[in-house]
Parts: sequence; C-alpha cells; structure tokens
Amino acid sequence: MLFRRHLGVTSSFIAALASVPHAAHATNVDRPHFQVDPVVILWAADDSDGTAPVVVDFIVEDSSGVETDLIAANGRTLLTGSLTATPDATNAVQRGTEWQVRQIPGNTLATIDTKSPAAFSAFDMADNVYAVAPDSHHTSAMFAASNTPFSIRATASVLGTPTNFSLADIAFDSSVSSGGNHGGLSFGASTSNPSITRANSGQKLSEFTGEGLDVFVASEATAATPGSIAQQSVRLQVGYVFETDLIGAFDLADGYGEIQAEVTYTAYVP
Amino acid sequence: MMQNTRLSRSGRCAAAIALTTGLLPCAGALNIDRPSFEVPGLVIVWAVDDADPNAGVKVVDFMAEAPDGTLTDLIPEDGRTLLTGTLDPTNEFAAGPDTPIGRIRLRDLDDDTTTIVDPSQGTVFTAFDPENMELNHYREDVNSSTAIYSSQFGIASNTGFAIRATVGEEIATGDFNMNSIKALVAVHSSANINGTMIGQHSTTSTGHLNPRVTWIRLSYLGEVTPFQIQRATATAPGTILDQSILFNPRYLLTNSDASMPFHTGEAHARSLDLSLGSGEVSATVTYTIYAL
Repeated sequence: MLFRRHLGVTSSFIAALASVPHAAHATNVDRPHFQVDPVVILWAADDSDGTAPVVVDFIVEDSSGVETDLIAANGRTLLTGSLTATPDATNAVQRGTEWQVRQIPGNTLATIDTKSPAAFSAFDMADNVYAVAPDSHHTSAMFAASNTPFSIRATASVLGTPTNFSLADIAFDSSVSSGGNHGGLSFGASTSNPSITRANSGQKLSEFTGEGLDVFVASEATAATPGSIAQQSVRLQVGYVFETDLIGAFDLADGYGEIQAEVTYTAYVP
Repeated sequence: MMQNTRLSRSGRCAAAIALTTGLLPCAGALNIDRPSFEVPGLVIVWAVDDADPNAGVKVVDFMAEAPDGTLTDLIPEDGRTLLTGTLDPTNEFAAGPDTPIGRIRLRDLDDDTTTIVDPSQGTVFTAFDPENMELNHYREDVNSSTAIYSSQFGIASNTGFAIRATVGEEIATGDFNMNSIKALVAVHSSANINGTMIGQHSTTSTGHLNPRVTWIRLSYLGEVTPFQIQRATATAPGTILDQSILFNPRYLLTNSDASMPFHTGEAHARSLDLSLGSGEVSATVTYTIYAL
C-alpha cells in the first residue's frame, strides 16, 4: 500500500514533467474548495418586544443568488444615540406637541407642552416673536455589518388615518457613521469607512411608496479587519422632518393635524 | 440534502418575487421605523393685559386644541382690546364714557360755520337763530359727529376657529339701553399700525366673518355669533404678527328702536342729535374664542 502510493505519486510527477504516458492508473485527486456566501447582518431592536440591541437580520446569499434572512423576527430601529427601541405602532412618539414662543434675536419666551399643558403668563408681543414647534424631527438608527456590498431599500406607508397631513409633508434624511459610540456600545473599529451612497436629502416619504427607494447603497463590505460584529458595523441613521421654515422649525403656517408613517427598511445583496 | 435545501430557499424567493413586482429585493429582512407627528390646533390672541393695560402689547391667550376638540387657554389673564389704529389700550369701564363724545357741534347751514360747545367746560355762546341750525354731538379727535367706538385685537392660528360675543350691560340710564348701541364686526388681514406691520403672512380666508353682519344692536349680538374663521390665519412662515389678522369691532350710539335690530351702512346714525334723547350707556362685550 505504501509502495503503491509512492509509485503513484512518482508516476504522476514524471508524467507531468515529461508528458509521457505512464502505465500506472492510480490517481489521488485533491480539490480544495472554499465558499463564503455573502452575508449582511443588521442589528437594532426586536420589533415584537423592543429588546435591544439584537441582531434582527442575518441575510445569506447562496451560490444560486438566492438571499434568505435566517432570522424570522422583524427588527425595529433604535432611538438615535441610545440602545432603546423606537416606539412601536401602538405607542408612537408624536412630535410637534411642544411649542415654543421665541424672540429672535432674543430668548425663548414660553415653552408649551400641549400634551401636558400648564398655565403661563401673558408675554410681550413684538415684531420678532415667533411661535414654533421645534420638535418636528424624528431620528433613529440601525447598524449593518457585511462581507459584501449591499443595499437597503425603504418603503413607506401610512398607519391609521391621518388628519390634514400626508407622506408628502415628511422629508427624509440620512447619514452614515463608520465608527463611534452609540448608547455606550462602540462600533465600527474594524471598518474602513466603506463607500455608502445615500438617498438625496429632503426626498419626501411619498416617494417611498410602492416599490420604495434604495436609501443606502454600499459598494463594498463594511468589515475591513477581524473583529466583532459591532466592530465591523456601520451605523445607518435616518431622519424624518416636517416641512421647515426659514428658522428651521414647524410653525403656524404649517397647519395642524396628525400623521403616523411606517417605513420598512429591507436589506439585500444587489 | 444540501441540494434540496437550496431548492427550498429558491422556491420561497420565487414566491416572494411573484407577490411583488419582481423588482423588490427578495430578502425577507425588515427593519421598521414609525415616525409620528401630531400638531395641535393653536390660536394665539394678542392685545393688552386687562389688569395692566399700560404694560404694552402682550399675548393674552394661547389656546391649544385637545384631542376632543376643545380649546384650552393656557394664559389665565384676561385681555383688553386696543384702540383701532394704535397699540394703545381701550379704556376700562371705570374710566367712564369717552369724553370727546360729550361735545356738541352747532352748525349753521346757511354759512356753513360751526361752533363747538363743551358742556364740561361751561362754554358760553351767543343766542342764535334756530332755523337752519343743526346740532350734533361732536368728536374732536376724529372730527366726526358720529359717536363711534372702535377697537381691535390680533389673532394668529394654524386652524379655523370661532368667536362668540357675550354682552353685559354696565350702565343704561335715560333713553339708552343695549338697543342703543349697534355693533359692526370686521376682520382685516393686514394693517400698518404706526409702522408695525400686521398680517404680512396671513389671510382672513373669505375676507369676512361668517356670518356676515351689518350694524346690529348689542342686544342681538350674542344671538348672531359665533363668527367663524374657517381656516388658519397663517399662510407662510413668519412672526406671530406676520401671521395675525385683526378682529375689529365697532360700536355706535343710535336710537333704541328695538324693532329694527339690523341696519346697513352708517348713514342712519350719522347725526347724533337731540332725537336720540339723553342718558348714559355702557356695555362690556366679551369675545371668547373656541375651536370650530
């Protein structure tokens, strides 16, 4: 047995060198083969109970090009700067209920929480006094780690019945951070500032209905060096803004009403 | 076995594609965000503080609409109206009637000469021929023989609203009562008050109040209100003054013939003459704003 192996190897070696057919038929074939499927991992909060931070998507593209998310649960975004889930559909934060009376230039003359109203005194009126709702922004975040380029598509719809407002009144904004600290959790130390193209700032959510729009397109993997998932992650931050006026806040001219949107972000390997 | 697994995944993806347009990614990953915005209806009223009227123009009502549609005023102080065309407060009741109205104008229709008589100053004048001599009360400040009291206050809102007038009788002596005062209420979407621009980004919607009223006796004013402003006053970003309209009530002294609650125009009351009789009348008109 040892002889045959030795003979076989020798014969193959000679044949390879001299291209001379040899009479021995013994062959030993080695075919080292490795396959690493494209993987995209998203982490944020669990939509069912708000647990955070948790990995909520583990997307694998197999050799046939089929992508599968191996985690059945849906995710929910995180409040910006924290590891707390954004409100769910039954407990949505309602922006625009706090108003301020500002003197510009000057001071804030009054702050009014219309959800928990408290009496205040008459205040001076002048030609530089504004009534604005400064809290007309909603921002949130999610994280992505990948060994492949990927895209994230956003689709928007209205929850419930809006009053006076529509998705066209909400402008979208986004940003990407390839390193930092989010709510005490460090991220991005093993990324190399991957190139990620973002949707145009100011696009209205009404443009996100139907098939939606790709709001993040990463042309390379997020992971650059070995590390934990958090270290190989980038932060994808999204924001929603009511129409703003010259002083950057919602004011009386924007009317009154209510709207709740649902924006779904779907990651995939292009 | 591996081959079977691949087929199974492929099948799920194909189903997903079939359910969508074929252009959506077939990965099932979902991260959901639910931005929510709510802006309450707000109505802001400015005039002066009734308790401290010389402290300047102030926001005296800041009303926010609750989910049930009621407007709650978060400023406890009562406001007081401004004299029309100024940022000065109107007189409070204790100050008594507008003294200029107490003057009398004697006008000789033959030669168009006039004599102003101020009873409070004990003016002495010569005997005159009553023929072709007209006697009117006279307001020197407005050069008018019509006893008109005009006031205003500003309103800025992001919603429609209504204004109800409530009339209270303070003094009614002699020949006068709540029928002796007629009111006409108007709204203005812009004004320049001594250089202070009002309403550069406001609208009164239809340009008038609904219902439209002509001169109406005060005893009926409460019945025809509320006046309605059907939409927000604010039309573009700006200051509260920019987004304000002016609510302008006017009152005139007239006869007390209650059989005619309405009149059109002012001509019927131009001559404040002897036929009106004598006496004193004073009312408090309270304007309360609420959601439509």
